[in-house]
Formats: sequence, C-alpha cells, structure tokens
Amino acid sequence: MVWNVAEALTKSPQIAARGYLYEADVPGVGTVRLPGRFFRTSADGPPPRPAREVEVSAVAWEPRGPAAAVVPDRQLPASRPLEGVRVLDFTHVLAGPFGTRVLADLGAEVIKVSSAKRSGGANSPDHPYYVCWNRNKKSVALDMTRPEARAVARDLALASDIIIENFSAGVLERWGLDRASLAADHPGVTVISMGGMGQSGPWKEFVTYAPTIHALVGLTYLTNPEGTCTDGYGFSLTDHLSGLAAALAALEGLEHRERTGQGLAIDLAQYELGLGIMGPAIIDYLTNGTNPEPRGNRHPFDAWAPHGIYPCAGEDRWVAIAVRGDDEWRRLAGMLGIEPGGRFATHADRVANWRELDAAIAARTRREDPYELAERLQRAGVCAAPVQHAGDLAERDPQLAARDFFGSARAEKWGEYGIDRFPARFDGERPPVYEGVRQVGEDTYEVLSTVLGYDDERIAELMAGGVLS
Amino acid sequence: MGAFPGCLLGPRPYNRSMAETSPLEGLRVIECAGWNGVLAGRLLAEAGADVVRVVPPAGDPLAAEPPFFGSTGVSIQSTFYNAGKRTVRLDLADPLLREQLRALIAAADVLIEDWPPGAPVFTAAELRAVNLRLAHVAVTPMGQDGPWRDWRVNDLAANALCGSAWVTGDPQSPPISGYGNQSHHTVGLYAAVLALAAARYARLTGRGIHVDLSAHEALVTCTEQVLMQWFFPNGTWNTPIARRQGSLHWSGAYEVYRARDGHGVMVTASLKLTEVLVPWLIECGAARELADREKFPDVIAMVKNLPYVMKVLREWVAEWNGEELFYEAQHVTSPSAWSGTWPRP
Repeated sequence: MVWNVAEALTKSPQIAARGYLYEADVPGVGTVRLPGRFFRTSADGPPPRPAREVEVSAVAWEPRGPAAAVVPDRQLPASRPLEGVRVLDFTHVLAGPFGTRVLADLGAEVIKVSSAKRSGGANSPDHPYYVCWNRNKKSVALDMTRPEARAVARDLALASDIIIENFSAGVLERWGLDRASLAADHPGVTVISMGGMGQSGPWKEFVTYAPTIHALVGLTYLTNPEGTCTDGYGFSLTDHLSGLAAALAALEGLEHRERTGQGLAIDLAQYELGLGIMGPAIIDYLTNGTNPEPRGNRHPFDAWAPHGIYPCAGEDRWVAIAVRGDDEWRRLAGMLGIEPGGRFATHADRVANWRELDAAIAARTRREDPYELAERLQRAGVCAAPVQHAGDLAERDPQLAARDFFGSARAEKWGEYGIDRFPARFDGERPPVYEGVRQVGEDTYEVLSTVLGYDDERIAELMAGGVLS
Repeated sequence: MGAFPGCLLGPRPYNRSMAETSPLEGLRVIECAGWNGVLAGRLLAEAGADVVRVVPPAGDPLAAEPPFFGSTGVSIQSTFYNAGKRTVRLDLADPLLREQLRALIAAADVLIEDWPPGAPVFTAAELRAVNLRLAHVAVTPMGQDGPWRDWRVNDLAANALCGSAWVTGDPQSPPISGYGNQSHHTVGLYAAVLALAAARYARLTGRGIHVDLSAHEALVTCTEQVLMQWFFPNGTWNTPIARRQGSLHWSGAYEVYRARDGHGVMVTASLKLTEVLVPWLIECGAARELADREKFPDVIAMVKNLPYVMKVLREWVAEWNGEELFYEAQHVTSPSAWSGTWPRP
C-alpha cells in the first residue's frame, strides 16, 4: 500500500503489536511518543531519552590509563579492521548481502550458504546483481531441506562469530540455528534476523521487498513530483540501509561479547528501520497532526529556499541548487543576474513565492553547463551540484577519479569487471581486497575441511548424498 | 502538551535480565558533527554507548531546524537525532575551551567529526598524540582530499551527485531528490559501522586509527542498479545508464498501480509467479493470456514478456479495494498460507 504518513501510522497493526513507539518526556514540551530503535537486541536497555545538556566537567571521564598489554596474535592491517571475524551468511537478494559485503570488504571472512535450488535469477552468480553484492565471500552449498545439511550448518554456526539470515520468521528456530539453540554450546555467537517485519506481530510472515517497505512507511508517497504520489524512490534504498544496520548489529554483537562473553540476538525488522528513517515526519504527525503532501524537490520543512533541481543546457541535464538565508540568496541572485529584492527579499518571501523563484532560476540555468555552474556557485559558497548519472560517476566525476574510487575484480565467468571500492580509507588506505564472485559451492570443500576439520571421506559421503548442493 | 492516554506501548520482544549490559555500555564517543554524523551518534547511543555531542556556544544548530513541537520552539529533528546523548557547549575559537575538547578526546574511545578537511579543529596527528588508541572517524561530504574536497553539500545536493536523483521521478519530471535526510541516514549508518570497526582495531592492536569516510562515495555504493547497469550493460535493462521511470523497478517486475478506491498498491510479478500468482489470477478469472499454457508455458516465457504480465496485473488491481488486495496478497504468498494458520488482522 502506498500510504501517506498518517495512514502509515494509523493503519498498521504491527506498530502497536511490537510496541515500536515509546513515550518520553521532552523538556519544554511534555510527554510525547517517539519512534523506537532502528533495530532491537537481546541486551537493550530502556529506549533513548531526549538529550541532556551538561557542563564539560560533568562528562567526568577518567583517563583510560595505559593500554592493557595487547599481544596481537598477528598483524591486523588498518584497512582490514575485521580480520579474524567469521560471518555465516544465509541471506539473499540485496539487504543481507549488502550488509555482509560491507563486513567482507573490511576483512571479515564471510561464508555464504546457499543451494542450487535457491540460486535462480538475481540469486545466481551468473546474474550481475549477485556479482555486485557478493564479492569477497566464500560460497558453500547446502541443501537445507536435508537434516545432514542442517547438521553441517550447525557445525559452521558453532565456528562462527556472526550469523545473518533473512528467512521467514521461525525458520532458524526449526533448524536449531537461532541464538537460544546455540547459546549453550557457543555463548559468544551473535545471530541477526533481518526479516521484513521482524520476528513478532501480526505481520511477521509478510513478504516484503524494499519497494514494499518504502510504500508502507510513507517514503514512496513523499518522494514525488508535486501532484504525484506513486513514483517513490528509484531504487531499493532501504535494502542498503537494512544491510548497513545489519553490519552495525554484527559489530555491536562483537562489542557485547568483548564486555560480557555473550553475543546478541538481533531482531532487525526492515519495516521498523523504514519507520526510523521517517522519524521526523512521524513525530511531526504524532504531535502536530501534520500529514505532508509530496512537494517535488522543495525542502520538506522549508528550511532552505530556493531548494530545487533546475534544467541546464543539453538534453536531460540538471543542476541542484540550495540556499539558506539572505546572504547566500544575494550571492546566488547576483551570480545568476536575478533581482534579489522585491518578492524574493526574505526567506519567507522566497518560500511564499517559490513558483516564481524556481522559474526565475530555471530561466538562468537553462543556458549553463551543470558542472561549470556548480563549480562557480561552490566557489562563491553556495551549495550546488550537477545531477549525475552512472556514466558521469564513472567517467566525468573528478572527485571519484582523484580518489581512485573505482576498481576491478575478476571471476571466471565474467573476466575482469568494474567495481566500486569501499567508500572509506583507514590511515590513508582503502580496503585492498576485492575478490570476484564465486560459483555456488565453489568453496564447500575448502570450508568443510579447513574450518570444520572434516576429513575427505566424510565430505565425499556428504557429496554423494546430495547434501552439498 | 499533554500525555497520550492511548499510547501504544506493547510488549518487548526479549526479556533482559537486570544484570545484562547494553551492547555498547561503557564505550565513550565524542560526536562533533553535523548532518552526516548525527545519526551515527544516535545509533551508538541507543545501543548504550556514552555519546557526548559537542555544540557551539550559541547552542546546537540542529535545535534551530524545523519542524517544532507545536509552538514550543523545541525542534523535532534535534529531539529525534540527539536522543540518548549528552551535549556540551564549547567555543572552539577560545584556546582554553579548545583544550577542554582535547582533554575529552584524550579520554574517549571514538571520535566522530566532520571538520573541514582544509581547516580541522585538530589534526589526526595532534589527536593521536593525546590518545594513542583513538578510533577517529572523519565523515565529510567529499573525503579528505580531491578537487571537490571543500564543497558544501546538503541532502539535495548529495542525492544529485550520487546518482540517486537521476533515477528517481518519472520520465517527464526533473530528477527527484528522495524525501527527508535519506542521504544523511545512509552516511550516518556507514559512520556508525566504521566507528565500531575502528574501535575494534584500536582495542586489538593498542593503536589508534583514522578513518576518512567520504559521504559522496558512501552514497554511490548505495544506489542499487545504477552501477550494476554501468558495469554490466548487456542485461535485460539494455542500457548502461539507468533512467528514472516512475514507480517501475529496474527489473520491470514491481510497479505501483491504482486500486478501485484510488489507493496505490505496490505490485510485484517476481514472487512465485507460476506457483502462486498466476494460479491466483486464474482463480479470480483475471489471468487472460497468462492462463494459456501454449503462449506462457513457464516462468521464462512470462519473464520474457514482463510488460504483458504487468499489464494484466494493472487491470486486475483496478478491480480491487487497495487494502483488501494488500492483505489478500500477503495471505496468498505467506509461507503459512498453505497450512491455513495465517492470522487475519
């Protein structure tokens, strides 16, 4: 359902059933309802209270003292800070695989479990989609409908630090791979369930894709040209965000184990993460009754004006320009040759007369190259940017080129193909390893023999029985 | 503003014993950052970290961001993004107060900052000198170097630069910037991940680490088909440059259609097409040629003629009440549908 914000909050039984909203006292306001956590863990304390302002002296952090004697058993390269972490990855499509791609790029050993049966379409190593999200991972094939395969999976789980899955609610329990089933033998393991709707509530079995989540939380409705309410995001934003949240949850599990010896059970509902990224609009509705309409590229809360994407010279070329306050406006107006006063003199004027304002700016930008104009405006301290497409990113964006952002990987089927590398550097170095995608089961033998210590006879028996496929 | 008597506080999914520690309890974080860092601090705070947000002497710029709770002047955005933190005011132009910040950082585990790369409050080397084990995450619009290093980039400009706006909207509209801080959410999640990865490194090695996170690069990694189509131009998409095409997903298998009551319904053709969807259409008498086993013998034939499948779905959706269809579709596709245990709302 493409719901507006009011519908998103009043029509979903899942929000109440899972106690997603919580009450808090906001100083100067009173008791209000706020959106809950972005994901839930088995060690959550009370939900976060509104920020408190304190004096610096009240922070009262004692110095940490000299470093405890750290005897690393091997060198940990700065650009691979997660080396030594083993992740067992049961996820498919985008959200989970993107999260484990992040962990793998950072040096974690990711063992992806799949089966020939579940490897069709975009879940096949022969599909570019799979290639994009599953680099740097080992591939083990297990037919999880077989009890012998589930026994192998349990052995792998006991040898892993993190387990990530996005099955339907309850599947992991049936297989004995949830945290409760593993904890007695492996208290340090963290198990992340990233179902669409979470592990409880009347919608827990609902099947969701990112476009479903976008639609149910009001994001599709509000991401539109004025007068339209069905376009929505042009790609699966919440899959990427859920993946990043799963990576964060994995690292929280490692931190928690460091402090307590215990891992975490994580209930990451992609739906609740979707509600979380609508947080300000949700609170605005709950407290002020505001139910916003799509407004194209204008700022949701009119904090900036102008705030738009304007046509440039050439076919389908555009520039984004955003201005805050009168000084910036006068600078922009001067550079574009627009009379800054009159009906555009104050912020309130520019908000009220936005149609005329946008028309006046568009009349000027139409003759300009978006890159040259954006660079000129940036030199004058105005926030502006060319609207870039894939070709621009790869071939024209001077920033990505200068920082050497793109690279390549190799795989048997694909030869050499282009990749985007990890978007951060560690002490100046980008994570260096980008192994090409593996065929399903390509690493089964190696993982079973080296990680689990199975001998050749046992592996051969499992293979002959069709368990490893 | 009064309490909400009808507050919907439901059960918590896990029982947490009193002795249990929050995931990040005891982790000390200094957050000295604007839009790209503020969610990172919130995420670490809600997991139990001790997050101290440093703001200018005039107060938190976020506190001036609309919207506000009624006429109170209290910012909804500041309340949301700063939940769980402590804030301190420090005038970093005052040498004495700058030293107070340095002292805070000396006792911290993690620093998240968005200082201008050309004019940082402290350099990474200066901070390493006072805290050998600091996990230092610099999150800036463009990273620490490059020709666009000093650009000012807000949510709109970030969406324009990374490819997101280009593919959002419809063919007749300008590119559309997604609603509401989504670029900052993406970058904030990355920053939180990197803060903990850096903290792990520092803990295991006893050495500090400096992370240079480029918001622009982070966003480029999160645009699904945009780079895939570029790197693999010969797929069914048939073009290296993904375009905006309304609600139609790049795969051609998801689109929003109007129900009889005018509601938009997100429809997908990818879900168990031959096992579930087409049998259901046949049952409803709406399958048209999809019921013809000669024309559409298998799923491959359907995927090859996706526009026809979507046309059938569009006409079928128009006969339904939107919410009825939504629940019925979840019923039919739900894993428990076959065992008949699906709970109706």
